[in-house]
Amino acid sequence: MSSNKKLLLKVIILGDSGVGKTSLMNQFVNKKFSNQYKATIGADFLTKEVMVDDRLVTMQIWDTAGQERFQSLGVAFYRGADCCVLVYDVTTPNSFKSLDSWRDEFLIQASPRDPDHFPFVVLGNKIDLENRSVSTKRAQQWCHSKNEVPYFETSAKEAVNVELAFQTIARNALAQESEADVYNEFPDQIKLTNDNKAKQDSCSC
Amino acid sequence: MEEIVEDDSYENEKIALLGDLIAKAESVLSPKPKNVWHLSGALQRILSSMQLILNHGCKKDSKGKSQLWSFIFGLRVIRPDLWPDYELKYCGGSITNEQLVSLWLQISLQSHLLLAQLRALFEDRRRLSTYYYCWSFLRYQLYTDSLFIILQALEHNSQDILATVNPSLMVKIYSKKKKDQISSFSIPENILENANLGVNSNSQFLVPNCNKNCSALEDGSIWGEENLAINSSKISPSFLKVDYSNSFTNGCEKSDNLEKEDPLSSRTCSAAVIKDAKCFSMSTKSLSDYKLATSSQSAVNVKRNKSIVKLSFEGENSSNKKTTISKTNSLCEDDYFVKPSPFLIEYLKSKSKLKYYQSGISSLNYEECSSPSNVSIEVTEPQSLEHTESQKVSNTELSKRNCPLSDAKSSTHTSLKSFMEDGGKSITPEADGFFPHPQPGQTILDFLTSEQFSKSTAQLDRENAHFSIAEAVLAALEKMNFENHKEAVKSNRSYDESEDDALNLKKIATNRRKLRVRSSVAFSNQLSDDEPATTDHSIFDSPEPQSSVSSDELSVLSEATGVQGRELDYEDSISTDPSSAENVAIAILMQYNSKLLPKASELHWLVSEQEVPQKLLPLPNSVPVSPDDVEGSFQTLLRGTNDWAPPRPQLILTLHKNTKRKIRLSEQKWRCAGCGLSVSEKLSSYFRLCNYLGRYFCTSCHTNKKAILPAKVLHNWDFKKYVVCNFSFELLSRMSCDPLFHLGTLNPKLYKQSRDLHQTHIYRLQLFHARIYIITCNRANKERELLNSYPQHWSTEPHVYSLDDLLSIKNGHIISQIKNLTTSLISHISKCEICLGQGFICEICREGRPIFPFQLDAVTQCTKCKECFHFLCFSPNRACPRCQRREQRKSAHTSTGR
Repeated sequence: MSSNKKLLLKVIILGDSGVGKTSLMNQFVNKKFSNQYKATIGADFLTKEVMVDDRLVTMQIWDTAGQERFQSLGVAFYRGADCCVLVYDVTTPNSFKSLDSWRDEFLIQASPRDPDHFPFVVLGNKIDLENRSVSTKRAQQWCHSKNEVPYFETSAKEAVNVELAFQTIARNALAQESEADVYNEFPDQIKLTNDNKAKQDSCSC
Repeated sequence: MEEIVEDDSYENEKIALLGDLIAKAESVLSPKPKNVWHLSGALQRILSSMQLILNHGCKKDSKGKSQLWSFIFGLRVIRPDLWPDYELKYCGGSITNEQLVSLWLQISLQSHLLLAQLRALFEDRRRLSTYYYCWSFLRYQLYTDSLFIILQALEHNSQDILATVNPSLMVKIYSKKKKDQISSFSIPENILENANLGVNSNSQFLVPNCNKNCSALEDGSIWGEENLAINSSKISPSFLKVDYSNSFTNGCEKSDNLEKEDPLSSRTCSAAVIKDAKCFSMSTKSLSDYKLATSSQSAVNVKRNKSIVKLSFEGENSSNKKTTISKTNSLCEDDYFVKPSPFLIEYLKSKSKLKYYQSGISSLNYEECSSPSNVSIEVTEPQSLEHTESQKVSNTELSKRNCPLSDAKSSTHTSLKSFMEDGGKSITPEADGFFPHPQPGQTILDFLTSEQFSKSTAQLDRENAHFSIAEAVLAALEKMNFENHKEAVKSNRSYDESEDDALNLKKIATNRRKLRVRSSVAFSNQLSDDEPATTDHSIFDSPEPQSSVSSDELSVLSEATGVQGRELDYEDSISTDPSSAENVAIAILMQYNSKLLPKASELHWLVSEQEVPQKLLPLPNSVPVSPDDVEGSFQTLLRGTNDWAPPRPQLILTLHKNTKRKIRLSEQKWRCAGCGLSVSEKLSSYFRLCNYLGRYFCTSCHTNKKAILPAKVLHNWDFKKYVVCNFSFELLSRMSCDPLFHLGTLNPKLYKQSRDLHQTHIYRLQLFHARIYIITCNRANKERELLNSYPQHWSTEPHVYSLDDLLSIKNGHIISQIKNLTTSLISHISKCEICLGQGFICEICREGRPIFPFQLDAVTQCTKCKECFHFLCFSPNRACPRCQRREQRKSAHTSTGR
């Protein structure tokens, strides 16, 4: 295992518009929060170095636009992602309902090697607000049904659970990445043996 | 005493600044107001002039900001007693230095402190030299002395002081003004051409180096053979099968919405940059970057098999050297000296006919100064003059329309509105055919001052009004004389004829004198109560010693003084335009007792009903109208007359086929389509056809000007110039830069007719697709700026062209620009991580490389959801997988009702 190699973890944050994706990222990377809402256009990423089990890794966190009107832009950046964060707003039930679509769409577009075990993390944001309408239990049930996806309730405004959530994201992404490394070594070998076999076959003429 | 640089290349500027300030000061002082600053706009005029002078040659700090405020602020230390209380004037909050300067100037001017302050400031020459370059206005004793004189004159409200400005400077100012003014339209052309009209972006007398017509010259003094060189080095276009239907317009609407909703102004292509550049002229830009284009051709070594800009990855980047595109955005300082085109000269000549203004400089007695009613074309800031906006045409304005990215100095000028902005409403027709009719029983003075006269703005109508009103005034005077005579006869007074004549002569003489005095009173705009009384006294103090004054005459004269009280009402109207027909008539008739004047309706007006049948629009049949509203004044008048109406500003795209003279003229009822002048069949051969409107015009409405017709271009790709009437010429020149023509709808076949157009179209499509990546990418600031420097419609509406665009395509300039633009955008996208991340992955083959919609040869899009696929992977007949998924989700949601 390459414990000394500098690792880049690619993390994608998805969710409906206005749930707090940009704020969460801002809180984690810059420790800042602004009440002013500015819709993100297109995509952008920030990087942050974190320590995961005595290992220094760089997280490349991609922040996306939640609105459908940016459909003339593609999502090529899904490719090569190590972890995907699904965010919803606890005060907006619709944002929770659309988590399914976000997850499905991501799996189709990114086409990871092992879709069933691809690491997701679900964040229920804005718990500082009073009018909560999605219960913890319901969210946990959903996460449980999707192969034990880790679930955190966060507040980007008050920096509740943000650090913890991203630590978990980093850890899961790292696990995924290292597994990917392992798998990557085999395909070449397999190819070679296949070719040899083919040659042998063709020679028996 | 400062060392004066002998060879002063900035002299022109200083002269200009000084001349401008003097002119403004005169305009403020000549009406002889009680308080200088009470005159409306006076403060603003002087303020703007002073700001220019103070900013002239002011050094900037390391950040590029003007240090003027810090220079001025030093006064607080030098002379604290003179420092005004400007803090009170603004309520805090952030205020820029420029605003502070302006505020300070305003207060200092108003409190008459400025002179003392400036004297104190300029005393310290060392300090002055640290803040100002050696060539600046304020470092020359000569100019600052003149400045002090002017300020003194303003503070003491005295024109005499103003006259003491150094005469040598005044001469320079005048000789400069003369050079730039074209004072009569009979100047032979060779003199104008030798006047070296060139672009000097520093000069306030900005004259265009090349107006739009220049590039369109058939003889092509500039473009000539060099044009062909560009053509040959171009890549031969392949005729890619691109779908020319409106499929892309749907896309562009969406992207427009994107912009509107987007609150992040930093990422959007803000319209603010392009606002002023609406009338963006390709030809002037092309002129300056023509040289660059030829040199940059060799620099761009993009390998292309097909003539589209290709996207390349992983180090195989095309060697796109950064073309110096940014240079093209500013006016090239190389001073392309171009002879003014004959069109410009003619155009200005015809405009000079319409100019008529009072020169405020008439009060100064200099040889070069022309008489007050000088017909000339204004080149300086016309703020002190009274003009109707639509007739304000000057070199500066033409230049502003052509070079919207030029100096901010010209931003104070009003500019001609393009066709898209106002629908051509600001183009005044030659004539409206309008002459008001008096109401029955209306007094003549009331009729003349009525609103109806102010309605008519057409020049020809105003000129014609002189005829009819003059006749009416004569008729009125004659009638009064006759009445008088009748009275005399009735009362059996023994006057013989000679005395009658003497009486009449006396009356006329005194009236004339009164008129002269009244006119000067009117011109000086003074409404104080003293003046008319004194003038009246002056008349009565020196009576004519010819014959004995009859009691009759005395009564007339004394009653005339009774008019004095009402003079003020009419003086208001005189002050608006003392030279208009009705105002001259009022000035004359005011002398008389209104009781003696015949009623307007009793007079026989020259303008007969048959000539000018004014009609009211017919009342609507269906809608009930209250009888109160039926009264004449509330209804709208028919446009023009029964037979004729002035031409409407229309966009005409039809090729006129049946333009036989006799047929057309009979359709036009043997009248000129421009002014309604009627003509006989014999003389109709003199009338001229306007190829734009397809109608015949008289020789004053149609002076054989030539223009490119959009219809010809759109149907036949024909850029020949055809004769048009003046109205059409004006209209066409205003719409030349408007993006009006959607070729995809109007004539898609045109793309096949011209190679250049086809090529441009391909690049524009690519540009259209690439645009959204650039505006959403945080790191694409340079590219965004570049995009903003071009007309917006280039990237937002790929099928839409302006006439200028089409002309530039024909001349071969535009294609290299668009190619460069597209190339830069695409090269950014190919290198930028974010932009690459926002590409598409083909869902069908799942190949790892991102694809983009501007890869016209390899990529196709789903028309609904805009997702991109490889050309070979996806056919539009198949349903797009993403659309399918979305459909499923929608139905799932609605059915489960979650």
